[in-house]
Amino acid sequence: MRGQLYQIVLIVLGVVVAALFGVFVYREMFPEYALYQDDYIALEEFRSTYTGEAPPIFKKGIKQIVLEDKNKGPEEIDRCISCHVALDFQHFSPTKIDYDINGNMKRDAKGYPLQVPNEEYVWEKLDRKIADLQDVAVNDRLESEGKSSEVLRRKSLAAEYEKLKTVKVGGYTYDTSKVLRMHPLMGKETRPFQFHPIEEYGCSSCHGGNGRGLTTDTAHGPVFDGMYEEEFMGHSPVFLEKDPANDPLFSKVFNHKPGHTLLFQTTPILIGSLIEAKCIQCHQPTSASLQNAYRGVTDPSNKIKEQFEESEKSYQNDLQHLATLLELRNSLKEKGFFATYTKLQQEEQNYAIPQIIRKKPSKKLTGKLQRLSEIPIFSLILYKNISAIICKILKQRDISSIKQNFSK
Amino acid sequence: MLGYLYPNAMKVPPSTFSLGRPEEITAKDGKIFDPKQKVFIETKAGKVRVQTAVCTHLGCTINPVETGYSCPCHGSTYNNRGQVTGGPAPKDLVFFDIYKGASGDLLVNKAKTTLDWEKAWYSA
Amino acid sequence: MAVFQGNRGESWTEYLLNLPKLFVRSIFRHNYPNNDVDRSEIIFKNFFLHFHPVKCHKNSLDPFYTLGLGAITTSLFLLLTITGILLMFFYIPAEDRAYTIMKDWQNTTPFAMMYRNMHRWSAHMMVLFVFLHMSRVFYTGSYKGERRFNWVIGIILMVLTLLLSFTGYLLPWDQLAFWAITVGSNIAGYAPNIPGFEYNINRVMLLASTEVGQDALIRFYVLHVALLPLFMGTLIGVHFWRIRKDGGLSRPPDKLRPEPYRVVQRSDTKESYAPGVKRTYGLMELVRGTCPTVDKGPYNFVFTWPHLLRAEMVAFLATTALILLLSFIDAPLEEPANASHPPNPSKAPWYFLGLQEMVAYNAFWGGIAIPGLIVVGLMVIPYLDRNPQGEGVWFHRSRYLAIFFYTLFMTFQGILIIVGTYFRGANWGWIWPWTETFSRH
Repeated sequence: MRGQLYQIVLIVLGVVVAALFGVFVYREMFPEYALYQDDYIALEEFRSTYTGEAPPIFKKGIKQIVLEDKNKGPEEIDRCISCHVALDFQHFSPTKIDYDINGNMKRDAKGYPLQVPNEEYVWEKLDRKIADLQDVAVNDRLESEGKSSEVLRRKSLAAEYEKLKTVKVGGYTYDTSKVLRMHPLMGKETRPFQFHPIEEYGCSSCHGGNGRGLTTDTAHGPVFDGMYEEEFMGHSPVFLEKDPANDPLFSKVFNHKPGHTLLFQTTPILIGSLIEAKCIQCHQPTSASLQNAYRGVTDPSNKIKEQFEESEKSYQNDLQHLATLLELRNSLKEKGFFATYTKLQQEEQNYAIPQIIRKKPSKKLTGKLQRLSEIPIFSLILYKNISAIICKILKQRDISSIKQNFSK
Repeated sequence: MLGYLYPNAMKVPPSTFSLGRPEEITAKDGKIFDPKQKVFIETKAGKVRVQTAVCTHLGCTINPVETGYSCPCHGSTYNNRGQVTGGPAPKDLVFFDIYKGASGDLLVNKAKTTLDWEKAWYSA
Repeated sequence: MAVFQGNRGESWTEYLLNLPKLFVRSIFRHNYPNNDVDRSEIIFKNFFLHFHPVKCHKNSLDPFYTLGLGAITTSLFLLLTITGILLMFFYIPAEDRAYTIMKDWQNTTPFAMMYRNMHRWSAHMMVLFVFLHMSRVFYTGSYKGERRFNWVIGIILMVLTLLLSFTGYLLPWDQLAFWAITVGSNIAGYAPNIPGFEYNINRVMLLASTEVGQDALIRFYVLHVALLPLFMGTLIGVHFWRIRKDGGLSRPPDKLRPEPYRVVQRSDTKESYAPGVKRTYGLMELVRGTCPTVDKGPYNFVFTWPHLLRAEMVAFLATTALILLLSFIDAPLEEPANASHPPNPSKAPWYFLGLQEMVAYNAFWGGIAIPGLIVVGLMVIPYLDRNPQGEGVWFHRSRYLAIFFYTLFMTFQGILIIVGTYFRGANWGWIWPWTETFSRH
């Protein structure tokens, strides 16, 4: 009874566990990048129907660019090319470079190659083929001739080709013609990656994003609006008026943090004109390099100027102190020790003189003098010595030579 | 479990690699050594040939010498065509298949090898 | 007269024909159990099974008695060990590499997310089920008598489970991990310091530094994969051993022949019994007969093979099924750890949120003193309980007061955890979770 119940439960659980493992195995057998690669292979086969050449060799699987770190740190890995297979194929580009009759490249005013629509563009050819297959007039004519199987074949082929244009992943529909497309030419390039070979630069060094990710949302981040699960970040100020003409389109991307179900990228993927933000990490515009050069010249001279001003200030300070010491020496000579001492004490307590002048370095001397005055015999002997020392110090300072040095 | 442990994406250079544009490769004649892929790329009069630089004995990288190649590890020697002339190497050096890729670059497929040193030339 | 001539030597053909059987017999010293003798033999001759008793009481197999909680917890431990070792094939405990490996696991390494999710949810479930198992043992009074110290070992195992969970939490090296461990280690820093040390010794021993960094990562990694599992495995062994020596799982006294009786009188119509020798587990009895209980009356023990083993298998498969179902939910991975950018609020893992809530009021009392008292208090329960009744029975009448206090206390802890999870937002201020989106941080 109970034993039999246990037996049944055991068998049921065994089946359940096997089924659940099976789901995971299924997931691994059909990864997302395989969809795009299958799509690419189908497109190449379609292309070979009108070019007559065999489709180029293509090995399915994860493709990655590994950029080694010279410090043997973790490598940069970009797996973008597992899905974006057609980055350097000319027949996946909607435009091509315009050549004139003599075979020379046509350039515009800045020297960049001119582009014209590419008649070899596979997606366009696909669209035309689909339209051709679905041509109502032709199909009706064939029907009337009784070739309904032919019509069915045409229609099913058209449906097959139509399916190639989109890919459904996880509830979202992605446009495959955006995935399988040649990398647009930048500047004076005549072919993609002419000046920045992809094996040396990778993709994320310019585009940002998560190079190691192999699904659309982990690699790009959110692609559509609403893929964001917005987290409440506290109340933020909002402009009361919407200005669709001037508000940047991507403001939503960066003002809301994607929810924690989406892996937050270390660097968000840069879209639109933001891509040019990364160019500056290597390239600098001429205005910037001019500024750098200018600063290179003016900075050292500014430094010397500052140093000069510092020493000028301290020199002025020293002059002031010198004046005070001279005054003290004079008063010691003429009035004698005790008179000077009492006068200094009076000055200290004279509230009419501002405090700063009162608290001059002479105060230190006053203190010393006070202590000395408590030793009467000493005071007479040391008085002479002190004044002698002061005179010596004053004489050693060759004031004129110091002045000369600073004026340089 | 085994599927988990078999590395899906190994950090080794892929077995199919690009030599570059045909015009650039055949521009000058000579023999270059590519350390990342461990091959010798030889160009002569508009033709390209790619030969492995891995010794067939135990896998060290061989050095080109006047009479051909020589391996520093155990002293295997090869002639200019890659045939074994001495040392413990059991097999000759193979050549790899070159083909033109869809992007217009010349691609080398390390999975397809040949020992015929004349057929291995690819005319761009 | 028939005299035994000795065994006739076998011929070569006979030897070759016998070879497969010889080979199998050399590995397995026992037959496949199809009769009672074989069922006894396999348990004490097989290495992997000999930890079990040959026979176990029917009551122990009752799913509504133990709810299988101990078996589920053990299955979770096994799952954690297996998935953990598999994950160790790829994980590198270095600051700059750990997170990139997590990223690789997301889509590229096949089955990596399955194993990672299994590992993470098993860990959370284990903390939960350890607590449920402890409650079951308490409610059935299974800590009385000789089982007192086993309860203490169980509490130590619970602390080890929490520590294992804590050390493992840091390993992804994302914001969630980094700051949760910062909070946890700061709580540890409130433990009294040994005088003369510049930094709090408890915190520094934990982190191998004054801040969470590379040193903490390798230390936590070694603790998590080597030291703590070793302790835990050993203590689990001791825990099971003590159950064996205590005579199996706790149960109410048998109405049906509570102790082995021996037949004293057998007549045609009636057998009468008298108390017999108590069963000793160290001895083995060889009996001639079809069933080992010769000359014994009916009693409630059944063979381990197949009953106990089947019950354990059911528990294991049920746990695996549960964990696989949960593994469809991805384990969280947030931004890479950034020491200069603490999230607000930073929350410890959920089982420590009750602690963090208490710490918000007073760091020492909430973080060290009260949890310490809780652990010591739990350990001491069997020694304070003088009531011999109620062992093996759910909610025995004589224990209502104790059950009430235990339940009250656990509910209070649960409320603290719920408050810490859902009702605390930025700056640990009070939020109502339905008005603002629940933010983990």
